[in-house]
Amino acid sequence: MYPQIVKDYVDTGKIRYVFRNFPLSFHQWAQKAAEAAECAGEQGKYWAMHEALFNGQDEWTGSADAVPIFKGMAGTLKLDQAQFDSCLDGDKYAEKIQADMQEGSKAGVSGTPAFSVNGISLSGAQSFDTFKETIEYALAGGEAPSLAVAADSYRSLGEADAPVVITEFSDFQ
Amino acid sequence: MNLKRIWLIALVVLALVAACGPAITTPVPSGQATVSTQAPTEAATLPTKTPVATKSPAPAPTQDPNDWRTLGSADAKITLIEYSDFQ
Repeated sequence: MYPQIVKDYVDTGKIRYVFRNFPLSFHQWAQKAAEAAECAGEQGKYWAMHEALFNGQDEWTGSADAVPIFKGMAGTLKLDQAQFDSCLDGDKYAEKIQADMQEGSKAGVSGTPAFSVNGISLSGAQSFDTFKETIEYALAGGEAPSLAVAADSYRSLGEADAPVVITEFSDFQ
Repeated sequence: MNLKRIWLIALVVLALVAACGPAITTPVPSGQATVSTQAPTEAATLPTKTPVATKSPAPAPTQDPNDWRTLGSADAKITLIEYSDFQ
């Protein structure tokens, strides 16, 4: 999905692709993996480490200590090893990642992956066709839909003119 | 009596001379240097042109040089943000 988006939309100048860290607390090594990517980023290899981390998930996600594996990846990418190790061991980008988390939470993100296409939210893993449809809609001037809720609906609770509306889409099973 | 008058006239004349004379200045010792506490000022120059207010161009979208997590043009019409972790 990601390479196709880059090829069709980023490389053609139609979209800007931004990655923000949202390491979930129950993913043991997600925070440190995000830090590893940032530490590679300061040496100009963010996207290479990004790819290495995703491609190497089987190797490190179940590991008792993933940090040496991340350091090994840095070596494979020909990074300055001492600089990378110091960066990773010193939690240099921990606060930056927390700032990403706060930004995501404000945007309504609660799980990963989550996407925003000019404000149009897509939650969970999506097919390229879904991205394509959403991007083309935005390119054509489409905006994020606003939900109209019928005030007399027997499925509503509370005042019709309340400043905040929570809409739940669900099933009963 | 004449002597008293003469003295009175003499005193009046002296008083008038003192009042119309030059001010008494305290002499500065010639060996004492005086230091100016003000920086020398350049001769004021008149502006040769009237300043003209110029309209600044709109600021270009800034791209944080430390944000290596962005791909594509900063001018792109669409921004796709992915929030994710690596695990």
